[in-house]
Amino acid sequence: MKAAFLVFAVLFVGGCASGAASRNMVPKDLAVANIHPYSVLVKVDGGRETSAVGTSQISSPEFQAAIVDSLTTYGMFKAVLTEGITDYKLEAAILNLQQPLFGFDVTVTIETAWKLTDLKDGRAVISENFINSYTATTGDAFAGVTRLRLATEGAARENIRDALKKISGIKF
Amino acid sequence: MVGKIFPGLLVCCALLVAQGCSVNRATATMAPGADLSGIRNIYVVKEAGDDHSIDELIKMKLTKMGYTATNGPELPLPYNADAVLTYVDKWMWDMTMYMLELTVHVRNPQTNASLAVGNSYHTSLSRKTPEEMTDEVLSNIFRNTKPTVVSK
Repeated sequence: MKAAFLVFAVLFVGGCASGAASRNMVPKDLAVANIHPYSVLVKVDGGRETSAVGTSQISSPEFQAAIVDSLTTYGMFKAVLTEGITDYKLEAAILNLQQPLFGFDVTVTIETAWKLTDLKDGRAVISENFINSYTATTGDAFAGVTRLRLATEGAARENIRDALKKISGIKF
Repeated sequence: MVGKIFPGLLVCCALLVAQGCSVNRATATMAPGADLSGIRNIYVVKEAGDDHSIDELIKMKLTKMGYTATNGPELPLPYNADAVLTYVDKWMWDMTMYMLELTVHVRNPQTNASLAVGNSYHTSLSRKTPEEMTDEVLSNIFRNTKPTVVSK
């Protein structure tokens, strides 16, 4: 009976998907070219909640938290807010998240659109799409659902890195 | 012992199956600052391996909505259109084949960057026809956008 319960528990827990976590989407080694002495408002759209029987997804609040944490960690702006009045607005939308159904090496591709607007005159400082991929292998995780989550978080992390690198490279 | 475990397992499985049967989702997301109001001519790219002619359904719906739509294979950039539509359709079998999910991207004809995406997801018990799924996705994407009327 114990064995049957164990098998069931392993199958059940092993099959449950968990969503991408913001802390795992923060780039670890971002080289910041310019620090902007302004405040910025961060808004995110297009995320999706993860259901227990579905695949690992990126929710808007987690993606937003990852962007806010990244901007704060690297001190790219004077202040980073999610509500209120600021000098600039940074919008990001998750437009595509391609995930395989199964596989040993799991590659996830993400496409996002980013726009940084100067709220003083409505001028777009940057308006660009970024496409990134990340592969998680069996060396990263044995369970398929965990491997998919790691690949999803990795793709999002690379995506945030590229977008913030672009933003930090612009002088304004 | 097995007799005691079996009903519990059955309930758990039934719960999992029931959860899977009741998922309905219909969303649309625009790229920040994207403006679809100037779009009139749309080229629908037929997905490789699509044997359900979804590109024809999309074209018909767009025409009904007032756009000038053409369809065909993927072409090298840039497209001679105001926007390009690509799609991914996923099908599932449950007594009969049904469309589980339809995702449609509106893309920039010069760069292929996604401007907007719509998604419709309905599992078996709440399944919709491909026509209904197409209607739902395109209506959500172009909800507040009417095609520009060109006066002659």
